[in-house]
Amino acid sequence: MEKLKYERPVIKKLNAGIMNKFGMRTEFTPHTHIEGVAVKDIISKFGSPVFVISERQIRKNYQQAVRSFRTRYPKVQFAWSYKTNYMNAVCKVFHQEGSWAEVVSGFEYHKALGNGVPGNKIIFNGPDKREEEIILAINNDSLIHVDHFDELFLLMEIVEKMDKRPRVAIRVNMDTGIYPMWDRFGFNYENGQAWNAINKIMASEKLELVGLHSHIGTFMLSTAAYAVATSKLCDLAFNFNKKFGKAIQYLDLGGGFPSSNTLKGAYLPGADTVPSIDEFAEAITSTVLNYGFKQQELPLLILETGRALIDDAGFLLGSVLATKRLSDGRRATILDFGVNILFTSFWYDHKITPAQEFSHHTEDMVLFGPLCMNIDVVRETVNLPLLQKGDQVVVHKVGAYNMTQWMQFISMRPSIIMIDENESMHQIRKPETLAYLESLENIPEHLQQIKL
Amino acid sequence: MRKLKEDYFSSLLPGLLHSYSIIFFARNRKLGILLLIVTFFNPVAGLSGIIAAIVAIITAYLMGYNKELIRDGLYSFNALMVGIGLGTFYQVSFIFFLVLGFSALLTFIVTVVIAGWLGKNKLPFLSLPFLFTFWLLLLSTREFSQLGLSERNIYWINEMVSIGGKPLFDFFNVIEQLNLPIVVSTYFHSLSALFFQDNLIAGILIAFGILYYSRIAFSLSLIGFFSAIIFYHLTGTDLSKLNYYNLGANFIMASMAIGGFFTIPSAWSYLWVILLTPIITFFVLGTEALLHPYQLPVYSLPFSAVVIIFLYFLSFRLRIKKLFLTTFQYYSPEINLYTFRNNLERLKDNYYVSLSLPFWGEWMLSQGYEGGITHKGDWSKALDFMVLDEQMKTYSDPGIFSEHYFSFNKPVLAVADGFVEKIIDQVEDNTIGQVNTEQNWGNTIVIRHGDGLYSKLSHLKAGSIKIKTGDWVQRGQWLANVGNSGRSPEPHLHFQMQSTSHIGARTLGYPMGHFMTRDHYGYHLHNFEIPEEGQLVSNVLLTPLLQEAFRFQPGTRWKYNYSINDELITEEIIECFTDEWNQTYLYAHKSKSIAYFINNGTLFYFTHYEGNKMDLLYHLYKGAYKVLLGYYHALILEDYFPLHFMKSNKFLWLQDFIAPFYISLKSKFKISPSYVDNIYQPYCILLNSETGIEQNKKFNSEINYKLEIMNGRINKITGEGNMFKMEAVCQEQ
Repeated sequence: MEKLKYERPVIKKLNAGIMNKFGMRTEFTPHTHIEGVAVKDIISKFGSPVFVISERQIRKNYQQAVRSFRTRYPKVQFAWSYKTNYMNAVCKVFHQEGSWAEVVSGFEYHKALGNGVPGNKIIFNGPDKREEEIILAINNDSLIHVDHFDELFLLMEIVEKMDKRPRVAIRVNMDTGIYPMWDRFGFNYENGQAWNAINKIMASEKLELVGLHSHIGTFMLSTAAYAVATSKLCDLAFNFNKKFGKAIQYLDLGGGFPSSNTLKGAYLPGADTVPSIDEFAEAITSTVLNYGFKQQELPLLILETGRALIDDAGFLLGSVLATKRLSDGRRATILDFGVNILFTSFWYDHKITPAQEFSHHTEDMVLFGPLCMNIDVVRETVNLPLLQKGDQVVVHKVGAYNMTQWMQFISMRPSIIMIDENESMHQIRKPETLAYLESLENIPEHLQQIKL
Repeated sequence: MRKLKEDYFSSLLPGLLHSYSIIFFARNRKLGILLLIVTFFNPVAGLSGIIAAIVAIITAYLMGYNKELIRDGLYSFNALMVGIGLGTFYQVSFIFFLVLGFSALLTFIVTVVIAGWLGKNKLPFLSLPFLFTFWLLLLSTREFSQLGLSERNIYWINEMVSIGGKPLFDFFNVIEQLNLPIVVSTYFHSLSALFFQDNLIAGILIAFGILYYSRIAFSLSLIGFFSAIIFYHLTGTDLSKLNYYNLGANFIMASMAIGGFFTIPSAWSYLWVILLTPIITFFVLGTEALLHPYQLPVYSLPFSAVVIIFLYFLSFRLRIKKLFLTTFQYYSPEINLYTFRNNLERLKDNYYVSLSLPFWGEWMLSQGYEGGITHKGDWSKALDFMVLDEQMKTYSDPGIFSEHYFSFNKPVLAVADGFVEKIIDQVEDNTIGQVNTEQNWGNTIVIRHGDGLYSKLSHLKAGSIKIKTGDWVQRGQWLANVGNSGRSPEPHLHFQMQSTSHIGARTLGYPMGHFMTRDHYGYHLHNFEIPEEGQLVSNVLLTPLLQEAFRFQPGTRWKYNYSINDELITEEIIECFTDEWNQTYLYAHKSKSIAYFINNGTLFYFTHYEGNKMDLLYHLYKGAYKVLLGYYHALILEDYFPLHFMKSNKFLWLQDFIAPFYISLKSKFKISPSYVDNIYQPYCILLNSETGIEQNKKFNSEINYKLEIMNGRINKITGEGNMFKMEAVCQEQ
């Protein structure tokens, strides 16, 4: 018989209040394998912490989302939102599945080109487009989504000197009944700014208005807001058709679909409260279909869904560095990853599971990261089995934004592993090294020598 | 004047030559010239024949008869026969020419009248006008004392020597004394007898001409000839009764007409040729006896009578599975056969209403025809569709409510245009696992697409139906949502075709028009097929640029710079027209070639080409023989050309002989799209196609074409083959 694992004693307050609807016991089971590969094997091979991405899950998410829309609407295209996760391997999985690219900066634009996305399948969004980037996008026949009048004027100026007719869309912001209203991007619908922009584009004749774009927010929990946004875009498209006698080629509903993570402060877990992509698809497509377009003139629907397609395909594996008792008696567990690489712990109460067997005893605790910073808290309070130094944990649903918003701060950024559909591991990003970090640095001559 | 000149070259002159070849059911100028020469073996007969034909053609032209029929020689071949007959039997004199001219006129009039009379029943008039006129002449000219009978036909050697001198005579002598087997020489003599000659050389030339224009016709002539000989032999009929003319005009001609011209050549048509031989014999002997008192020869009466009677007899069949009648006449047994075979496989548009799948996206056929679960008995020809995920699951966990099922609440579309006939919309959706056998079909829509053709969509979501009874709906229109009502344990869509509007009517097996299936090899296109259980099916997604480029509107013109082997040949103008049967075709103004096509919204395909094989239109026909109007990258479409479009091949002649029984050679076409810049709003698409010969499953490529689709048209077409290169660039539209 295997030797029983030592578990330190724990004193628990008897809670005789109302029964918790989720029961007295822990909701967790150990998460020992990811896509058939043992967590301890991954950590022993690639170190701790380490990000793991499941290719199978990405494809599954993508196909499910596409199916949700394409079984409801004849023309749907997804464009991978680069900012959500622009690891080239991840992007290429999406591109292999047929997704276009949605980028919001020159750097991302070049990344998309480098990944082999044809220029005309890149949607160029965002408020910061430099002149040379716009020229590049025009030459590549990319879809330029104009954010403000200054950009529109710049675009018109550039086009004057070129023998091209770029394809543009305008980004429209609007009141969809949610708070806060995102009105800092694009042209406002209610006050007529959007219609004004459309008219300016049509008057210039050097630009071809092909689409209308809106992005009403992020982590949206209401499908109704999308129905409102869709209906307002349809209204613009309809009026456009009436005035100019041309059909708008596409409506881009942007992103914003939530993943099943639990937002901080939410009472119920995300998995139970967040609408599925199916429900968003229903709201959007039925609005367009009921709007009264002619069957042949139904616009293409573009979706820039990021988070909902990648979040649950990403895992962060880490280890316990130490446990300690805080002054107020709370148990603190210090992990080898913190907000530096798990940026989303500012937003979510991430689900964290131990990666090895444990007993049914649990304890409330704070999870700290390894940084020498007070803000480095992964979970303020979480009920977990009794962890001890060296134990390994799995953080779930970390695929979105962490691998793009992570910081090289105090420690290096770890490697990223992709597990393919045949359950073999690929390191898609190496861990950073000191040499890599310093390779961009330059030391002035007079600082070369130091003597202590 | 210009018009007359144009008509002269387009219908009058060809009409004259075709008057000769049409006697052997051919529209072939070379054969016409050969036969014209043969008629001049008896110069007077030749001359009077040509005069009679010209008289008929000119009369027809001046009186404004159908130019196409004039061109095909159909108005003049009877006059030609009458002319040859008169020239053979009467002496040349002024009165002869007078009689000849009026006989030609009379033959033409009788031709039109008989054609009009028989045409109503879609029957040919054959040589009836000749018979009528010629008998009339034989009976009436007995009174013309000025018109003498000729002896030239008897002393034809004198005649020949007087024209060609000794060398010609010697040549004829050599041939005549070749000591050919009696059967062979009888065969040739019989053929020559058709032109009232008794001349081995004429027969050989005619046989050669038939062989040149059609292997099938040639083999049929032999079959007709030999079955007559054998039948006479078996019955012990006096062989002397079987003169050359009867053998040639009646047995050989009837064999060619029935075996290969008015029917599509097949084993069945060959069998009927043999079966009809005794019947023709009855006609020959019977009519001879009948006409004897009037001293009228039967000529080709038995042939005409038997063919017309037999065709009329065939036209009353209800289930036509064999011995097909030739519906469109190309005046060549081979072309008729190859085109027919080809069309049988290709032109399903003519037989079925094209149905699309009643949904968007990709669904799985969960129960097909004769499915074991509920598609049984009278209701066996139905299709059930469901949405599946990659794990082949129909729901997301836990799957206890309809909402968890991927199919639930998905839009249901009309499969074709039609009127909404019946609606049920009050049946509650079942809970998962329960079935409602009381209201078996649940919420249902029945749509009428035509007489006796209804589609029915069932198990719809309660309250989701968006249309009313009597509404006109278009293909692809959103009608309702998938539900779980009626006999449905989990959400799915039931679809069937039926021949009455009754809900619960028995099903009707009917193919879906065009749809795609997907497996791990990629997409496959299916045309007019019934989907099979387990297939992942979706509608064909059409691509606007392809739709636009192949939407040839009558009146549109395209100007192309056409070059071969880098040498500019011509600036060709291609224009789209519709004919009086509403068939669309492209016409090349310079080369005058024609290519018929069909665009059914999903597929564009050419159906027929007439013209030179060097023309631009020919390459367009070959290169864009069939185009799917949706872009599916690298999806290969295959098709076959009618075999006679093949570049001449040493096997083709052999193939022609056995074609009615077995086809081993195939002229193949492949096409696949290779590039698109933007699938939704494409500006440029490249299609690669290839033509070649397939023999014993081995493919030999002949020409590779590249079609560049841009600016809403076929912007450029290039073709490359062995020692051959063509290019055409569109200049303007």
